[in-house]
Amino acid sequence: MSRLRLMSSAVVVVLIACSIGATTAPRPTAAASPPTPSASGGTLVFGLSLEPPSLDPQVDSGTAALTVKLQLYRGLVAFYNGGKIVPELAESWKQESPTSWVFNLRRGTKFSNGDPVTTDDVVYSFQRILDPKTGARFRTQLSAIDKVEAVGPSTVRFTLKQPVATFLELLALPEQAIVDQKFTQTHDLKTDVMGAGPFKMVEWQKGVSLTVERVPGFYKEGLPKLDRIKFVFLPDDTARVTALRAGDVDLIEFVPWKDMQSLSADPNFWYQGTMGLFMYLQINVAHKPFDDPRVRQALGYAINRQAILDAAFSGRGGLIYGMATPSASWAYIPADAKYFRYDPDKARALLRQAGVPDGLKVNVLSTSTYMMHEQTAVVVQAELKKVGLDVELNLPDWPTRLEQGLKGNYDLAVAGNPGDFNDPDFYYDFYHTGPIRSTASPNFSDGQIDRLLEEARQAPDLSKRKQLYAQFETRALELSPLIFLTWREQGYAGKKSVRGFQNLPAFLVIRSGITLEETTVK
Amino acid sequence: MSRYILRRLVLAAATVFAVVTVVFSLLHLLPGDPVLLILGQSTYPDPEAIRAVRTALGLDRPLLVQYGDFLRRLASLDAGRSLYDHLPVGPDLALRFPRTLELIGAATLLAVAAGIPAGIYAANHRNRLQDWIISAVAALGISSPVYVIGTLLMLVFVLWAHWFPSYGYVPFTARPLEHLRSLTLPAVTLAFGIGAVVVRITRSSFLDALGQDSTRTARAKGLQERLVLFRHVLRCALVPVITVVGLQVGNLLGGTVLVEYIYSYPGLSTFLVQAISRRDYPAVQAVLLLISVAFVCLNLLVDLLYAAVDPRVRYQ
Repeated sequence: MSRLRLMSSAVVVVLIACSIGATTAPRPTAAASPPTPSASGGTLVFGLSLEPPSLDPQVDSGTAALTVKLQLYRGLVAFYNGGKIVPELAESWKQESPTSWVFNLRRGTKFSNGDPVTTDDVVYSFQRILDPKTGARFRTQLSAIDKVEAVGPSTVRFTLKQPVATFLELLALPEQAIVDQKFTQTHDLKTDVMGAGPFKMVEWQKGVSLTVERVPGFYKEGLPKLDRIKFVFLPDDTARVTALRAGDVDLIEFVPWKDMQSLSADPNFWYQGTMGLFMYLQINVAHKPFDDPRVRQALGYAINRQAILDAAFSGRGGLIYGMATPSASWAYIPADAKYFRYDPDKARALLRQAGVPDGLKVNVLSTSTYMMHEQTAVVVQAELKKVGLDVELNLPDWPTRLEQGLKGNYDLAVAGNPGDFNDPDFYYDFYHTGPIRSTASPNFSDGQIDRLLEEARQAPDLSKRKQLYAQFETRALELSPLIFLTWREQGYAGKKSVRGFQNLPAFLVIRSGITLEETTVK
Repeated sequence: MSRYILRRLVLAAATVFAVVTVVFSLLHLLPGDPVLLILGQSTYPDPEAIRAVRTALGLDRPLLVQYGDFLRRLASLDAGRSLYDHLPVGPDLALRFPRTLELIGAATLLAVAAGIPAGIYAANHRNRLQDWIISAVAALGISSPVYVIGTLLMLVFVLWAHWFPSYGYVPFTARPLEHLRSLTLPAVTLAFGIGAVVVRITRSSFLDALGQDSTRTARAKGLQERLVLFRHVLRCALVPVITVVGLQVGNLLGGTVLVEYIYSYPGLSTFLVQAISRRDYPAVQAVLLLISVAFVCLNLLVDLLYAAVDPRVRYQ
């Protein structure tokens, strides 16, 4: 018996030790934080869908991480409300020639440790983006940069190898953040933060929360309005919505589709949704019979998009029966958006014309990690069955799906992506000849499309670009290497007491976190 | 006895070694490339960047070299660094393992504290209304998955009653009461499943023990009924209960993921699932190593508990 008693006391000791071990010390940050400024803006609790795997601002680590990085870092310019480009660390800029841009830095901007933001930091930041070792998200697109140099105490010049019509848009993406050269050379930006954003990181409790605090003297007068933002990690969809409904968090991202309706009807909350991503089919055009444009077009007619929207997205989003140009874009062509229609007879006729045998086995790659991807694939399977194609679903977990996708191991693949920005130049990634990737269809290559996309990327004026993109869309639909399916609604929801948060339009919606600097909570 | 323990320890070490080797090879055989995930998912994989990152992480070396490296680190008790943030995995484990242990411990305590008396009570009222009610509740507990119980508790006690927070974890030293509050619902959710098993096992083994000759003898020599029940019957009946509780707790190591997700509880299981979904090899290896060591220790503890409860085991 005494042994039993001994053991039970040992259990108690272990339990106590556990509780003590379970406490988390606040993460030390590089700069000692001064006393909190007078609390007027208060604290906002933001329910994030994922703990940031990394805080390196120039590397892609997902939408949730991006929202945090937008508080900590800024670039020269940024996309803001309504999608307009506003000055950030640069106060003005000028395009000197088709291949030369000059940016004048705002005076008196500082990193959160008080170091001034210098032209050296700007030059270094872009060198870092162009260094393959960084793994920067937009290295490929920015490799058109020939030279970045300081040409005055607060002036930087970018010299491009060839004109890039969307150069300013590229710089406005938050991934083109300016980092502190001295700090970056001695720290790892995956976990250590030194940016010139409106907030600085004060605490990161692994697995629980990440807290940022306003930086006094941020270069935009009166901003940010909040004193603190506490990002809590709520990966479970239901848990995130429950936390909002229970009043434990003020604002959530990635509102699950099933909750959009009830949250927008609830008088205690606001809901903002934006059609910010599209679902589509990638087609491996090296696999017969998908080398035949008629067969690819048949897919465009065979699939009832409404069925996908209902099954995978609780009916939230929009149908795409043609190109995926956002309707607010200057490049939007109504006829191209309605090129296809749901017409299984037409699909069957096209397949017959192309000599596709009935019951042809088709392999469709999707993933079981995300319900919406799986559901979309299941609907595609059912719809293609109606036109005589026998679909075999391949539903591995996400990492496997990603790898198989990049090897082109499929006939068709279900994909969901945003464009990088709302300019139709985003199509370049989706249609231009290149390596197998997660956007375009494997092995698709068309000289005419390549030429149109290249010309449109370099064309100096809008009317010329508009004309080129119209030609591109016609050709793209004719060849249909990609079949667009639906718009996917991306939503944020918050308490009525939270004001000022604003979704950016279309593809930019995942970058809406920038408006947290204007957000208030009562 | 010490020879026995020594043999057990050597066997345990061999088991752990086999586990880590299997884990290492399975992980690397598994499709899915961490480098692609690190470089972001929506992007165009830049072949140069892929090469650079792969080299930086040492993933371009032959598998055997990586395995040797892994064993060397293991020998020096170094859990390695995450492929993602390059931070050592050790501190993460030190943070999360105790949380999960605490959760499992609390759930087990609740389950045992409620399950054993309920089981005894049911056995003593065999085939009466009380027994049926308790057995019905236990059957419900066994057959309800944690996500159903968890969601229901969440609805009732968080959304309607507002008694508990909807998420979160508060360190004990920061605010002890809040800490217990945040622990309550996850622990209760887990306790349902374990408790139900405990009730059933206690009831049946108690009934078993009641029918044994030793019990009849104890009664025949005029012992008080209370003493008969607690000194003789209960002790006999406890051995199977300990076995079952040990098994249940073992299953929960690394198996609390659903509860951790529902309540956004930052424990070890969530960490493991996240690490697998990112193919963060060092993190997965470290967690599985920890879990297998813990499992082996648990089995050892169960064996010792047998000996404490049942003298026959001690003398064998």
